[in-house]
Amino acid sequence: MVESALEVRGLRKVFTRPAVDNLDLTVRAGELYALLGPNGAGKTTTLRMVAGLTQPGAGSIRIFGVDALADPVAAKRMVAWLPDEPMLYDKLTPMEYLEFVAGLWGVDAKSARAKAQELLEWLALWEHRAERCEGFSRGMKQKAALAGALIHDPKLLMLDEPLTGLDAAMARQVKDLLQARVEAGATVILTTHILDVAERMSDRIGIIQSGRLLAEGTLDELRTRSGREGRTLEDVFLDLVGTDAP
Amino acid sequence: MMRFLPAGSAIWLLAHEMRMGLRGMEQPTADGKKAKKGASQIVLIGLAIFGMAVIAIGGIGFGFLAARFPLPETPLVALIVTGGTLALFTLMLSQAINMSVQALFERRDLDLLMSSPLKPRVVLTVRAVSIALVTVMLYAALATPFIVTASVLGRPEWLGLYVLLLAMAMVATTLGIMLTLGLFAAIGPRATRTVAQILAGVTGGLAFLASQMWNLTRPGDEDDGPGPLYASLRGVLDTGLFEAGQPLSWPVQALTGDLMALLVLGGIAVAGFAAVSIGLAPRFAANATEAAGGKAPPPPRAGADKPFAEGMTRVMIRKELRLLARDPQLVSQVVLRLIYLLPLGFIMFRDASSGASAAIGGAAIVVMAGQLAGNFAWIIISAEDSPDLLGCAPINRAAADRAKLMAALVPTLALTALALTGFAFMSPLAALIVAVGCVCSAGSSGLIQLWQQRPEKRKAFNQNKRGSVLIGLAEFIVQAFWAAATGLAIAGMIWALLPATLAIGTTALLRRSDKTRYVSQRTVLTGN
Repeated sequence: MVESALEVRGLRKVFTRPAVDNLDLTVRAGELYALLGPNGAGKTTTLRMVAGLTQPGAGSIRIFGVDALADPVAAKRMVAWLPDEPMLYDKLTPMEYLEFVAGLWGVDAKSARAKAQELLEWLALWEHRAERCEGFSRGMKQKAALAGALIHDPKLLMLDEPLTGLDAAMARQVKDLLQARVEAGATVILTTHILDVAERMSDRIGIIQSGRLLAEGTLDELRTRSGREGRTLEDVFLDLVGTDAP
Repeated sequence: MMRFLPAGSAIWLLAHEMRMGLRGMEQPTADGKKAKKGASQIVLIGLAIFGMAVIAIGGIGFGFLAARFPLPETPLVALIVTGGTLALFTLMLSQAINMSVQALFERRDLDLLMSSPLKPRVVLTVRAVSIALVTVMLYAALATPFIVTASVLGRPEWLGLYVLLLAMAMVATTLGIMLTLGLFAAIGPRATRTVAQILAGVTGGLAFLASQMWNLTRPGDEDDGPGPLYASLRGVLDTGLFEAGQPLSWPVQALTGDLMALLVLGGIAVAGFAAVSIGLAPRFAANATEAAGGKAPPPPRAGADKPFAEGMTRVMIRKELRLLARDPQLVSQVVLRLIYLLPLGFIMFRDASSGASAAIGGAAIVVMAGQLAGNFAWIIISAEDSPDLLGCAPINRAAADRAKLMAALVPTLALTALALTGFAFMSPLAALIVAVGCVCSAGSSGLIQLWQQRPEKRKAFNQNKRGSVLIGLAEFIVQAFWAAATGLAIAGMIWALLPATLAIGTTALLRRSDKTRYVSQRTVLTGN
């Protein structure tokens, strides 16, 4: 039996209206899962609840078998969360930022230093390691934040619109990195409005709307379900969610 | 209101600017929403109504007096009125400098405005007019009960006060913009923000220091005569500079119905204002583009390759101290807020031999320590730049907050140590007592900030909107208790225990459990 990286059951969150409504979701260990949905569908709220940033109104969240609501610290040790707005400190350099994040996740200082160098070199930020992030472009900030998400080798990596603001070369680099993480055994959940990316990269796709899971499965399974054999994910997506463009 | 004005016109843009200027006075929260109404809001509204009633009644009372006793045009009255005008002007100038910096650097709409078909001259003029109007609004509102009463009771010349206030606001705005643009040209955008805000703080503080000049310069012993300030004022009066018709008497003449003086003052203000709007428009356009287009990155830092620190507490303290050290603007704002304690320091050093001075000076240092700790703790705890990063990290939040509190106490104690060192030269034993008082005061203020934390944006500090007013008041009361305890202890009085107990009790009353405050924080961050 394949271990579940994430099991969400009956998850609910109401702001002025239900943002997430009785959501059930299972992400298998070692897969790349794309969570799609129109704007306001509840993707980010769901992931924020999994990351421990938003308290659910109801439901359960298990991360690699750990109850994230009962033992959030144990669950957070395995998770990295990368929102679309990078969680950076403008007045820190990338090295200082990575030192801080590694400290938060309790990574041994010596190995964190080596890992930071490896990540910054790989992300082409090593030359900028002594510059403050405030002078960085959006793409560079996104890369620094990505390095922060990877410094503690998370088993579950959650990314909200990770390709926003990246140029083509950088976007390719990030996609390669995500594939590499999955091949190395990590689980990746990403949200994106770029359906081509989801189509080409993901093992399985979940489509949510109004906080509910509309459909889930591989691209072929989704095609079968929508009766659109051989069509693109965009066609299938629009079919399932109606006319709301992503 | 904007929908009734022709889109794209100067008046339409002015309405937009006024809207932005007034919204800039609102209390921001971390999520950009308005603060929810609660008990503290009701108390604040009550206090505001009470304050307005006091101002209205006071204004009406003075209006009756002004109607009955016309302002005599003597050199002494001219000196007092011109001095008062200057003091008020420094406050306006301080506000105008802050708003000019905000107009040039803080608002992010300059790219939009400068890329629109509007002429830079129109944009600058409108922005300058809005700064002047927002600056004058408060003072005009405060003066209205007085002006209206005096005018209705037969002294319509007091209406000239509105013109005088507006002229002062225009001159303040003109100087504020010139200073900001001049600094921009001389030292670049990054340093301009810091230097201009320090200048604004110092300028604002000058009014307060000026009001304390009498106390600062009076001799310790009444037998020593009237003091140097009195003598120098006497000398100034003897020069004849404040005789009727002299420029320095124009403010009082403007308020006693001299239309010419009023026109001259208003004319100078309008001419300066127009000259700046027209003359500096190209410079403004260039600076705006530079400020909005791209900030030059700071130079790379040395020591980037040094080893990482180990453990959450160490990395947290290191990170917080780095962020503070790299934000001189913020630190200068914290220190400038202590300017009102300076007169107490002067008195202390002037009468060093007196036991009462030591007690007062020691108490002032204790308040200073508390203020510094409260401000640094607010910046570090409530105004965390990346709360989500801490929220999703596998850390004990209470332990993280304790590390942050420690970080807040480092600069507090370092700055307090400077004052304590000076104090120790005068009275080593008293300095020891003051040191204990400082630790207690700083600790209490830090704990109050930790327990009452509410996520807010760091830049709110620069706009003097640091958290809840009620919490700030409570913090100040606790600091005052510790200051009283220290002063009494220096005087060797056992009564010191009473304010110390009250300080501990008040601090304890403000405690919120970890669970309560983190749930409330999450509510603020997520909007639910």
